[in-house]
Amino acid sequence: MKRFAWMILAPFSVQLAVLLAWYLLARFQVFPQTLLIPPLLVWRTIVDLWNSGDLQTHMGWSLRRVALGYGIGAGAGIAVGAALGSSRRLEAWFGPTLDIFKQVPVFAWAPMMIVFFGIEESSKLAFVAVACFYPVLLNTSQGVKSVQRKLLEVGEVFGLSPRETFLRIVVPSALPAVLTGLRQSIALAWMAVVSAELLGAESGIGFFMTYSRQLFQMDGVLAGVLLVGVVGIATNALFGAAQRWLVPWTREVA
Amino acid sequence: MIAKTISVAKGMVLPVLLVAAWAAWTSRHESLLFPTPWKSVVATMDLWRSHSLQGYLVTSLRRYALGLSIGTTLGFATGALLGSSRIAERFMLPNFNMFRQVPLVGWIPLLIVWFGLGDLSRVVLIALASFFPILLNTHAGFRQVPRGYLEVGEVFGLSGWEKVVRISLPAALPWIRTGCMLSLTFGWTILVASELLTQSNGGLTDILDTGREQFRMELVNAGIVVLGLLGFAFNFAATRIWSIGSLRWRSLNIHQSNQAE
Repeated sequence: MKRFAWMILAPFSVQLAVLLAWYLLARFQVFPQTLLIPPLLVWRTIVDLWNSGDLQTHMGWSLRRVALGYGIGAGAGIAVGAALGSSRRLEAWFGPTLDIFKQVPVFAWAPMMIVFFGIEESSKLAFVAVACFYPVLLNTSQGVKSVQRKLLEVGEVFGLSPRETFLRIVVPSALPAVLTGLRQSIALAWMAVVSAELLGAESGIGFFMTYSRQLFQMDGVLAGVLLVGVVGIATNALFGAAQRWLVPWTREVA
Repeated sequence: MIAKTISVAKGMVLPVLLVAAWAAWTSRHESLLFPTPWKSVVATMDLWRSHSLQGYLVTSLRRYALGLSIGTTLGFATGALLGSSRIAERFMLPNFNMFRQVPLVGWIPLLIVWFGLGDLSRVVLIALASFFPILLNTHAGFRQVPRGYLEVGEVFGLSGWEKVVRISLPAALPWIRTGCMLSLTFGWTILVASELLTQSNGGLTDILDTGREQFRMELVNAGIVVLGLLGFAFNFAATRIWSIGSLRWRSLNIHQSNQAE
């Protein structure tokens, strides 16, 4: 119990110290108000945004984009990854091509997506989908490949149908790796959405930050950074919980 | 040897076919969205001849090198500290783990306000990007040093500092190497993001921006190829350099843990 308290309190004390330093720096205006404002003011901004409904609107847009783009990209990643992982032949023919495209830094695709799909919704979704695709693909194919031969042989001995083999041997064996990929991808998806919105949008939390910055509203910028961070931390925690729930037998290494 | 050649050849069939199909299709039905691959080559050569490409390259590489050296140095130092001091670990590690889940691009508007639209913002961002992978891997490397080694050091009467330099550091090197490589890759990705999102002036993504603004798809394609090739070159060089010398017997240890356990 004492150990537990120590584990929570030690990092928490650092957080408190940072908050205090932030408060003092802002309180005594070490930096001009255009650069730093007190933490309480940022909190009040967030509350105001919530009450006016702006927060829900922008966050809603951003999360909708994450959900759709992630659905497309991660879905494609699982499908292609499973195919490449289960067939040596497919891997030999298609693997290197996918490797070539993987070399391109994700953000470099954004301008191309804008040219292809315009500045509207579809270019953002396409960009998010591309960003999600590779981590899921790589982990899935790794997971499917790592299914042990002897397990498959046991399945054969027990006379399992292909469908049963898939559901009862392949899926449980590959699941930990797939979930790792999904977790890496959701972080990328969030980052991709925010950057797509920074690059040009009329809604979403990224847009809100750029808008506030252009109006020199420091409270809006700081509130945006905070909200983006909270969502990042929350989704990661959510996926961690899902991993512990779905594959409790593996030690977490994501 | 032959088997390897065959497998490489197999892998190259599809890319060659894709480019050939692209060339064949666009030579008949050329459009703004689908220029011939040949045009991208010409555009790249023009950029080279007018010395713009070299300029972009130098500017981007300078930002990358600067950000990377700051980020990895600080990350390594912090990781070594957290790896050798339990108290520092207790206080700081959970915070770093939390902090690093904040998406880096989310900082960009704030960095612009604080440091302006110039190079400083970009360098800070790249430094942040390369800070965490090496920190976590250095920490993990120091933590996995077998107790026995340290006890032998104790027997030999080494001081605390000597133990770090002569035992922990060499034992942690393979992990540090992994951290370096992850920092290198992620730093490159974030360099591209930072240039695009701060309206890069004079960096490699200017090729993409010009292409997009002037609706010259061949420039966009060329830019993507250039960025991809450079990323590949960094990865390749890093793997080669690190596998030379005494580390060769070690396999890559990857530690990307998000979680304080």
